[in-house]
Amino acid sequence: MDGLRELNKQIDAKNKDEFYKTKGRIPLIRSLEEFISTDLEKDSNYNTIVQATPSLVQSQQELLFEHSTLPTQATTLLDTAMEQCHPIPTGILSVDMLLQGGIYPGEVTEILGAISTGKTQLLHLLAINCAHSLNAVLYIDNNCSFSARRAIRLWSKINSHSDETQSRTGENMLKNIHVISLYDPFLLLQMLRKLLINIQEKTSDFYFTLKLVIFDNFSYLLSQILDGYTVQGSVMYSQIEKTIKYIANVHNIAVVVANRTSPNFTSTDLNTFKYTRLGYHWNNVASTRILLERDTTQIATLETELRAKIKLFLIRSNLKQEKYETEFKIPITK
Amino acid sequence: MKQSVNSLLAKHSSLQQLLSAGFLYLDELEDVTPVELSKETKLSLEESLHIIEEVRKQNRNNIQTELSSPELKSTDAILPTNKTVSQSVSSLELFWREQEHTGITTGSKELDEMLGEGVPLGKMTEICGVPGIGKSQLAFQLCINSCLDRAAGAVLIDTEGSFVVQRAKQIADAVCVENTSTRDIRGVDLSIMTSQSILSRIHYFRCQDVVQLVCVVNTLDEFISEKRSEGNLIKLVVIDSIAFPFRMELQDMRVRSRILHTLSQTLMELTQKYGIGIVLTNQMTSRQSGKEPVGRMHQVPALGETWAHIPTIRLILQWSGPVRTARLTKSPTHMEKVVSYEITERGVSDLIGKIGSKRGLESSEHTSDTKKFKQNK
Repeated sequence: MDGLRELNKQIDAKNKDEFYKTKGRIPLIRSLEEFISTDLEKDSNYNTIVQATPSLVQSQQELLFEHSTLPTQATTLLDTAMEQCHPIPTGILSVDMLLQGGIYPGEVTEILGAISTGKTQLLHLLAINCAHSLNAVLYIDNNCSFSARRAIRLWSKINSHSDETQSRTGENMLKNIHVISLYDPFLLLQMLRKLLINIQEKTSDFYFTLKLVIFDNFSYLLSQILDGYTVQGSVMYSQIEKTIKYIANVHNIAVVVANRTSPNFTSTDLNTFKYTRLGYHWNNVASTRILLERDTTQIATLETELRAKIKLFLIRSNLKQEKYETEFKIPITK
Repeated sequence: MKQSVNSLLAKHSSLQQLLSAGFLYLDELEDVTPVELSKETKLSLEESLHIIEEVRKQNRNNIQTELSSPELKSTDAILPTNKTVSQSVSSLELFWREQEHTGITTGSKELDEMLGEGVPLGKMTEICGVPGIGKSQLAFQLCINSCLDRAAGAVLIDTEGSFVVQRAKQIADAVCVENTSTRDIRGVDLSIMTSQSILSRIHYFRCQDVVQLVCVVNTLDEFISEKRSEGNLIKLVVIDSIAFPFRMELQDMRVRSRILHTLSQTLMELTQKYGIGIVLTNQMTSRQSGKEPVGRMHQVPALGETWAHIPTIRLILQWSGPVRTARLTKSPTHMEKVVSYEITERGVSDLIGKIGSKRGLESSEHTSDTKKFKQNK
C-alpha cells in the first residue's frame, strides 16, 4: 500500500495549503476500497492536486489484479460438484429422500423449530453420519446440548445392520466429532476467525477432513448482541454471517445452523411470516431452510413414552423440489 | 476476510471516532502506534492504547491458533480461561467425561430413569410446576442428595424465601437413615453420615431481587473455586425460582430477556468449567390457546418461549388427578415421558403400589402428609 501512502501525503500537503481557500478539505483516501474505486485521472476532487504518476496508476492496477477473483467455468464446477459434493445423510429415509440425499456441503443449511421438535436430534444424526464416513465434524455448543453418549447410541443403532462396524468402532467415530463450548457472543467472531485460519492453513488432520460445522441454538448466542439493536451489534452480526457463508462456500463445508422460531411461527403462515428472531435479513443467509413442527396436542400420558411424529417442511432450497413436506420419527435408543 | 473495527471490545463512542477518522478494518490498525492513533482520531491516549491492545490481542490469538491443534488434551487444558475461545474437545473425551459423571439422584427411581441417571451434571435442568407441586421440595432433595459424597457440596440460591431449614434437616435425616446400612454407588460408606455434615455443605444464598441474583451468579465462579481449594467440590447449583424476581420486577421485556440471557450464559459457562449441574425452578403461567375470542386457558412455564430454548432439559411437574406427575418435555438424550412420584416426610420418592385403584388411596395418604408438613411449617 505504498501507493496509498504516497497519495495521502500529496493530499495532506495540498490540504494544508488549500484548507482556508475555496474548495475546503479534500478527503484522504483511507481504505483499499476507496483507493481502487477512485479514478485518479478524472475525479475532479483529486486531479487538481494529485499527479497521476505512472507509479500510482500502476499500483492501482496491481491491486486490482491482486484482489480480483478468477472466473471458473461452469463445467469445472460441475465436475468438482460431482466429485466432492456428497451430501451428508441424516440416516432417516424420508428426510433424506426429501433433501435429495441429505445436507449439501458448500452451503448454509438452517433447521428451524420450536422447542423439543427434534432440532438437536437431527444435528446429532448429521454429526454421526458425517463422522462415520471418516469426515470431521465441529459442533459448536452453547446450550450444553451435545451428548456423546446419545451420539454413540444413535450410531450403534443406525449401524447395527452393516458389516463395517467392526473396523469402524464407535471410538473412532467420536474422535471425528469435536465440540466447542461457547457462551459469549463476543467470542463467536473470534472463534470463527480462528476456525477460518485453521481451515485455510490446515493446521491439523482434523481440518483436512472437516466437512460439517454445526451451530446449535445459534440465535441464543446472538440475541444478546442483537437485542440492543446497536450499530456495533448489527455490524458484528453481519461479520459473523459473512464468515459463516465464506467457510461454507469457499471451503466446501456444510454449515448447519439450528434456530428457534418466533412463538407464532407455524407452517400455515410460511409466506407471510418468514423470519426468526435474527431479523428479516437472516433469510438471505441460509440457502436451505428446514422447518420442523410437532403436533402439540400429542403428548405423553402417565407411564408411557411418546415418540413424537415430526413434520418437516422444506421452505427454501436451491434444488427444485416437487414435494416439500414429509414426516419422520426420531430413532429411540436405550 | 477483513474484520471490521466495530467488532472490537471498546467504547461505542471511541469506535465511532475511529470510523469517522477512516479506520474501517482491524488490519489498518496493525502497525499504528497509540500516539499516532490518538493524533489521528483525537481520542485520548489511554483509549487509543486500549484499542491498540485489543487489536494486538486479536492478532496474537490468531497466531496461537496456528500453532495449537485440536488434538486430545488433558482435561485441565480444556477448561476455558477467562475471555478467550475455548479449545475444541473431541467428543470421545466428552464421552469419557459423561461416563464419569453420574447424575444426582432425585430420590425417585422412576424419575431418575426418565432423566437417565438422575439430574445430569454439566447441563442445565429446568423444573417447572404449579405452586405446591413440589418444586422446592425437589430442589432441597437434590441439594441434599448431591452432598452424599463426603467431598461434595451444593449451592442453593433462594429468591422466593421458600427454604425451610427444618424441612431440609428432616429430608437429610431420612436420607441418612436410608443410607446407613447400604453403600452408595461409588462405594462410599455412609454409615457415619449425619444430617449435620450434609447441611454444613449446603451453601445458602437469599436473593431479594434481580440485582442481588445477578451479583450472586456473577460471583459464583469465585465462590466455587474458593470452596474447591478448601476441599469442598460444589456439584450442584440450584436457583429456586428463576422466574420470581423476573416476573415481578421487570416490565421491559427487552431488558428482561437480555438479563436472563446473560445470566444463563454465565451459568452455562460454570457447568462447563467445573462440571457442575445447574437446576432452575420455574413457575407456571396461563396462556390462551386457539384464536377464538374465548380460547382454552392452559398452563405453560413462565418467562416465555424465548427462555424455553435455553435450559438443556425441561421437566414439568403437574397434577394428574390426585397424583403428582413429572413430564420430561425437552431433553437431548431421552424421550418424552410422564412418571408419577410422591413427596412424603422423607422427601421425594416413588409412588408405592401405584397400580389401579390403589392410586387414589396412596395419594390421599400423601396429601395428608403434605398437609401435616404445611402445618409444621
